[in-house]
Amino acid sequence: MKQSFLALTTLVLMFSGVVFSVCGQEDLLKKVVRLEKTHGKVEALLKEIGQKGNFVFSYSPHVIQADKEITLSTDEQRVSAFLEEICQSYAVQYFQRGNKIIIAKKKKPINNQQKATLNGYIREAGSGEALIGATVQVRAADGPDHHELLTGVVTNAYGFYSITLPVGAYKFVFSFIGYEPVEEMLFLEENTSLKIELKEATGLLQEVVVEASPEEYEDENVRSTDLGKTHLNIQEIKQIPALIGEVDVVKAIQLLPGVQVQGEGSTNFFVRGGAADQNLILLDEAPVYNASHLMGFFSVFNPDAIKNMQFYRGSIPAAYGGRLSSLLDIRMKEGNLKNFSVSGGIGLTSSRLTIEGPIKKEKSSFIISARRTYADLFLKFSRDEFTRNSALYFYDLNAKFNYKIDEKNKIYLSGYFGRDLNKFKTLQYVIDWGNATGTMRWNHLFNERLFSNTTLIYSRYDYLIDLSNEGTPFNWRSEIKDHTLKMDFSYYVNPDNLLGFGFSTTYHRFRPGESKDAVNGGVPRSNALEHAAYISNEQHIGDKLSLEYGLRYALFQLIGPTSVISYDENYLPVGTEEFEKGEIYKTFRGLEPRVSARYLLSGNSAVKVSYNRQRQYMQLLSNLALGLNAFDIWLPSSAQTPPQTSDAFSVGYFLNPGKNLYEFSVEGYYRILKNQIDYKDHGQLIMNPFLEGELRRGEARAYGIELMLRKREGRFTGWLSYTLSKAKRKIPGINNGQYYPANYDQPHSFSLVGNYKLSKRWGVSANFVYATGRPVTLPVETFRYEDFIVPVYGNRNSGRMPDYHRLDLAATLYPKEKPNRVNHSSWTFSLYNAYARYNAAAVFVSNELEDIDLVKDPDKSAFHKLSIFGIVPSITYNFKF
Amino acid sequence: MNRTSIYKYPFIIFLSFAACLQPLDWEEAEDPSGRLVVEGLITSEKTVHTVKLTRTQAVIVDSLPEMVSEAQVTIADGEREFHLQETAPGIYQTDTLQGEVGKTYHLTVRRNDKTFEAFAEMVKALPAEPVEVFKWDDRLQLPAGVTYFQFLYRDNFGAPAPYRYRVFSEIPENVADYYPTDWTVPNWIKRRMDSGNLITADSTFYLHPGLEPPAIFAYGETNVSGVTYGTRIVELFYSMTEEHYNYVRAVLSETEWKGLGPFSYVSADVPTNLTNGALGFFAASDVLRVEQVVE
Repeated sequence: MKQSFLALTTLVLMFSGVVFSVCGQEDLLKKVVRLEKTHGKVEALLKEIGQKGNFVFSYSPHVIQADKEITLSTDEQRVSAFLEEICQSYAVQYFQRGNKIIIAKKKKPINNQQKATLNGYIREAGSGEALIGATVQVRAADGPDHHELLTGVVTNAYGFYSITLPVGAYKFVFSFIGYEPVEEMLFLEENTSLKIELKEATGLLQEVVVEASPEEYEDENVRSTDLGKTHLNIQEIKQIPALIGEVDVVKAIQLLPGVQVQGEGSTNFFVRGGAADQNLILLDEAPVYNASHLMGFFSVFNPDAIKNMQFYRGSIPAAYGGRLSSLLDIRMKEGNLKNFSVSGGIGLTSSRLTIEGPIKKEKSSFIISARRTYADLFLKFSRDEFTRNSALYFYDLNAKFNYKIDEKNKIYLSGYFGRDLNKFKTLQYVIDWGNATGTMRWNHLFNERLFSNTTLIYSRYDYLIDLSNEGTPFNWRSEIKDHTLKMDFSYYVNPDNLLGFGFSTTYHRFRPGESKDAVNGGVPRSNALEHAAYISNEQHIGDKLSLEYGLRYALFQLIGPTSVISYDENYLPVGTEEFEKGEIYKTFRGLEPRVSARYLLSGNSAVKVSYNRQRQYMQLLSNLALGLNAFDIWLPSSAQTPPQTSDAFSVGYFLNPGKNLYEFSVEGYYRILKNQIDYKDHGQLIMNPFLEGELRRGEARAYGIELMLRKREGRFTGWLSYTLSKAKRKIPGINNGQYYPANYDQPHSFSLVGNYKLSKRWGVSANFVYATGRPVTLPVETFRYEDFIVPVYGNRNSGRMPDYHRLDLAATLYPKEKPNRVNHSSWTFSLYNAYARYNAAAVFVSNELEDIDLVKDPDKSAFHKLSIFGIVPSITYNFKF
Repeated sequence: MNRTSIYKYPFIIFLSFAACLQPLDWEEAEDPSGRLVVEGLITSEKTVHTVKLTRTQAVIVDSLPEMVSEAQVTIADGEREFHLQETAPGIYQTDTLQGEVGKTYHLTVRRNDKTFEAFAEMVKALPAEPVEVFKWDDRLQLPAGVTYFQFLYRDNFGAPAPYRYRVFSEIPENVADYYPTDWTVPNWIKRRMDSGNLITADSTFYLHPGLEPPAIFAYGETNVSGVTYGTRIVELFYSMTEEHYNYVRAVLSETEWKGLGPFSYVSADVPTNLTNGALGFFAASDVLRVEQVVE
């Protein structure tokens, strides 16, 4: 009997348990709760209702006014009745999900659609600046795979995102490196526009950092189909120790894998075996033809005016073309939409000042940023007359204005103007050069899925060499000028497809070299039209496979008026043909397929492959032993110098260990480059009307492996990169037609960049670089001719300069924390080349130069190494208020 | 070559912003191959012509090159063959002879069963006007009837054709006859006359048709002043074929113009017109002589 009762009781209890487990998620909306008070802020009242009912509310601050004070009619009733009172003035609906009640905006469904689009802009909370490349992750709101990542999208160059999903509830996570992520629980049942502002994670700068949750880390390097793409934000770049304290965005690029440097202090860079002119550098979409100030010691980019940089050394999107090896896409800040601010810095060689602010809050803003060196002012105090009468300086100015017409239209105007001047009055010798760019853009949102950008671009680079002394007067000017119209469209078809298409037309005007002096002549002017159209798609196939494929078609037309010199098989000029204005005398065209694929091996690792074909319709002629030059000549492709082409294959493995705390990648590449230019022996490029006769063309091969390990969050951030590579050329007439190393072939290249937050006030950083010495052609013996000792060389580039290595250190002192602090200043102390390694900038043979006034023994010669920098300390004061 | 070299100024500026110049050991340059080097010139002047044979040296040298003796050296013009005699170690000379414009001269060097050859065409030198002579410094307070003159060396660049160029001036022995009786011979003239060498301002250099950017700072203006009445100024223009000029231009690119200025050329071997691995050049030049007497 007892046993039967026990069994029956157990059965009843079990049945009850089953019943409860099936039915019992109790209906929270029907639950009756009693409150302590009936008056208070909405947020507090909801919290108390939840506490009393033993559940939580989930709602976005956008749907109800949480800080509004209200009075309820009673202190005890059903939860649903309380919600009716609280939400009566809002168009919201509420529903239960597990132990939560979700309050979401209620809208009328449109045409019973099964899908809805969420779009909008992600901006920085403090300034309203658009965040480029911010991530929108879509995660499950509930269910067995609670918070599972379903899909995602990144913002475009204007901070815009759009994602179309099946109607339902989702958790959206909006994040960007260095910013606190924002989560939104939304029931997406119709097209919704949502603007998000992210706050800078100031804890990273001023407090000891606590490791954040894994979801806050970016895994875009694993999930995207991009190979060889690096995103650098300006904050990361500002922490890298810099030469003379001058933060330089291009010098930061030189620390990445696959990037070689021409020489000490140079801003030229060479990517995956490509020449310096094969890098497309854009500033707000305008091409910058010479990114050097002061012979290459500094770049033309003022870091205070820069917001963001994307660097592609493989997988260049189909929207871009015209260069073979890389794309450096630099975006200027738009200007603070909320508050006026003044910032700048005072350093040992230059100072900079930036003013930005709203013209109309949240609608229109501006930014003006200027910079100038002033070391030349100290030359005037020199005792040496020659030095006193010399001038050596640069200045630049960035300006931008933007205006939001309405929710669907926004216009931007931006410009850059910079100039370098080297003047030696005693010699009556002046050289000056500079860039000017201007961009006008119109963003238009056709609907929630179709975004367009229309751009008008102007770009000019020119230089002047003028020597007015009576003995050898000459004057030489060179210029390249572009006018471009382009339109780009992004169509967010569905979560699995993002379609891009567009076109561009550029009018190029080339002035390779002109002289007022008839003796020197000039290189004939030329003009060209370059058109391009492209279409591409980013497609997700299932959970693991993503593809990005596209096709670009380019057309290049040379047009008159001009004189075209033709050459025979020995490169000797044989005739000149005249063409009228607008007459098309040569056309080049070609398709450029771009394909890349990513296969997810796991949640944090992937394998990627890509193939790119690129074409380039102009080349830079720069024939110097050193990287210190501004006297480049841009020349269009022609019958004598056909367009360059590149076929690039790459494969990579990507892994984000430590829950995305680290990013690891290993990439291999192989490139075939055709119609690569080199110069005949002792070719004369400047002041030579028969310039094309000095050029020789052939092919090149480049291959290598790049490794990178990066940490982007936490107290310690930085990266380590290593590249093993080979770049070689084979050009008839040079080196007996045999392969020889390219001038920038450096088989081993290593960089270590590290930043560490010591405390709230102190941060330290260091970078160490090592690279195999650059190839050099040095004499192996000599012979006498008349009074000259003439060198005899071995094979081209058969020698190597001494290996290059350097350590830079920096420490930054931040201000004390004070409430309502207005002035945010900091001091940066840096040591460039901390252990004073005298790296070789050039190696040459000459007469003894120890005493440059006398050469006692004219027959004595020696090898010499020129080093540009010893140890260079600097102090920079940065301010912002 | 005797021109003021001002290339050092940009170099000074560069060094003032730079760190240092240091010697560098370069092991690959220690063992020369000992290749044959030929330096030869035949001209339209009626004189003895010379071919010099040497060997290559190491890069860092502190001695003259090894001279090559016991070679058989001949020059043929298509009609006759001249055998050169070794008058000093490595120096081979013709008898007095005069080259002719339009002919192509064939140099042959034989030694130890090896033969080295070169061909050189003699092209006509284009006519040239005498260099301009003008009064020297009007600020000098000179007695009546006493005037001195000056002239500038020709510009290195902008000649109608490439030339090897020599200019010298010769003081007349009877210079006093050109001046008033109470004129005293200045010391700078007296010293020359006492030494027996009346040739002054003797310089040989090259004239180039275009402007060579690497050489912008290689040369300055040279002023020959204190030229008296009666001074004979002689200019010799040695014609050059294009091949010869390319050789000379390459040599200068690798030597005199090789600097640290902004326009360096990338290093490369100089060309040659000699066969069988020999270096150097064999050239033929028509010589235009332009004289003027300062009056």
